Amino acid sequence: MSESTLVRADAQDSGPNSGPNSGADNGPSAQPTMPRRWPLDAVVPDDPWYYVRLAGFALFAILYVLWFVKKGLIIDRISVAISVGVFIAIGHLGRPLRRWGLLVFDLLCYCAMWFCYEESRGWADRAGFEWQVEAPRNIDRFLFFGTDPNVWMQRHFYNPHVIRWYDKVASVTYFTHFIFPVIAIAVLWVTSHREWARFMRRFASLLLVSCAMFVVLPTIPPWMAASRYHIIGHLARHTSRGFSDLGLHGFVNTWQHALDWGNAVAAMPSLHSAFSLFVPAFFLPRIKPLWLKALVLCFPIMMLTSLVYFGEHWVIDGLIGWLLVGLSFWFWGWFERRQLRVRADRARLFLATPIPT
Amino acid sequence: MISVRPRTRAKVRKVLLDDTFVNALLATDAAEHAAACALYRQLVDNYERGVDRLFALSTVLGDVPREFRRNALGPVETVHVAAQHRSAAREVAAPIAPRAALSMVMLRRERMNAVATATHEFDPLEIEVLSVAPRVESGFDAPVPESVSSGTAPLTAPRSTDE
Repeated sequence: MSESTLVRADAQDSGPNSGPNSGADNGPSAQPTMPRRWPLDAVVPDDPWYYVRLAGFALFAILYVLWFVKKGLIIDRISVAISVGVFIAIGHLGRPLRRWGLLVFDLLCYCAMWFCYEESRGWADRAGFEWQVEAPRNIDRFLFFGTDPNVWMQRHFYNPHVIRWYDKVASVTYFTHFIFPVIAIAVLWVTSHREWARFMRRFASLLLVSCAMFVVLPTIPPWMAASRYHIIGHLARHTSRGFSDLGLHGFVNTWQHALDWGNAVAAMPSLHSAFSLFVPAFFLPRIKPLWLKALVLCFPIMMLTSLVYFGEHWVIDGLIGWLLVGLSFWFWGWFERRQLRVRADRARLFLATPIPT
Repeated sequence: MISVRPRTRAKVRKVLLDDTFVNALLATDAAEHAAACALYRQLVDNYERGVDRLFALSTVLGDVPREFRRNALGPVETVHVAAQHRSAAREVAAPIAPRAALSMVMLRRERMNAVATATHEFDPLEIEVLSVAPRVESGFDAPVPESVSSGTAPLTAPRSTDE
């Protein structure tokens, strides 16, 4: 690029908004002109990889939607991890090697977190803590004045022969659990490593405490309380009915079976419920309109209602899930504010101290 | 001396402390030292309130004594400079010092919206400039011959490959 020959067309204007040096073109006797400020992108060359990344994201979105339509929503952990990995790799195309190194480290931490989560299900079986069978039912009955909310909801709204609109809404809400947190993590990973770290601190803490509770406090879900222990009325498990009726289904690869440490007695706390509050709560400060904040906060209520309707969780499971989210946000919010204060105090102290020469 | 524009937006401001500002902060004998310290105190207050995030280039922080980095510059996050950024800095369409060009590249790539500096190199840019350099009277108005273009001279009109 030759500076002597390549000049922006608008820089040659002789109007009042001419460039800072435009006077030089008009000779030393030119009238003083108003300053013109230049956008950074007029001065700094584009990042050529930016467009490659954009094209990559567009291609990824098309392929993801095609996969969703043809094979179903990706819900098993490994397939989800692969799809997230591809998305993040696209977001890192053309980035410096250091960023890739950081990504590998993050990815290892991320995988370790999910591995511990899955493993904890196995530990829960081996630890031998007493199963909570009647306690959650009793708490729910106490909260709802002697009524079993799961049974009440199915008696009033569930019809095995008819799929109503709310069955579809509840089913879709239930399946968002497999998408929303993952999308949030992937997007934050690509856009802001700092925000990703903030998100993951809270998320990992929530998972850690939840796993500990799965081990120490194995709790049977309502459908098991009905089918195996008969301590509440009959409950149907119909989570995917509405989803299927919409022509949608879940994609679970065969490796899920090889890694299936599924723990049926991990009702307390409800991670469905917790994640449905976690994601909106994290992004809530960025939402300005009050009505939109209120609308967003309806989502966790919808999720808990759906879980109770499907007989997957007790109400208390969802409430404990929300409580853990609140505690996680409170703790890390306090910790991060403290970090800011400590660093700021150190800086102020140093500035107040004369530097020896 | 200190030119800080009032901000009305609630969005977090990302401020790059350029090498001249860090030098002014570190060198007690620098003419802008007192002004740099005063501005930095304001920035640190904003940092504590979560209003500002402070950044400096790895090339700048690498030269700073460790004690100073850990304490005085504790609130400052490192922006890592890579070969691709240096390469982009060489293509900046303005006759300015390479270090300022590198700062401009990082300002754009990391989407920072303010720069704290002890020069007037960034004045012609559409970003918030927090300068502790002595105010230049009629800095834009007087035509600056290209032959005397220096680190503190205003930028000439940007050039591009459009033509």
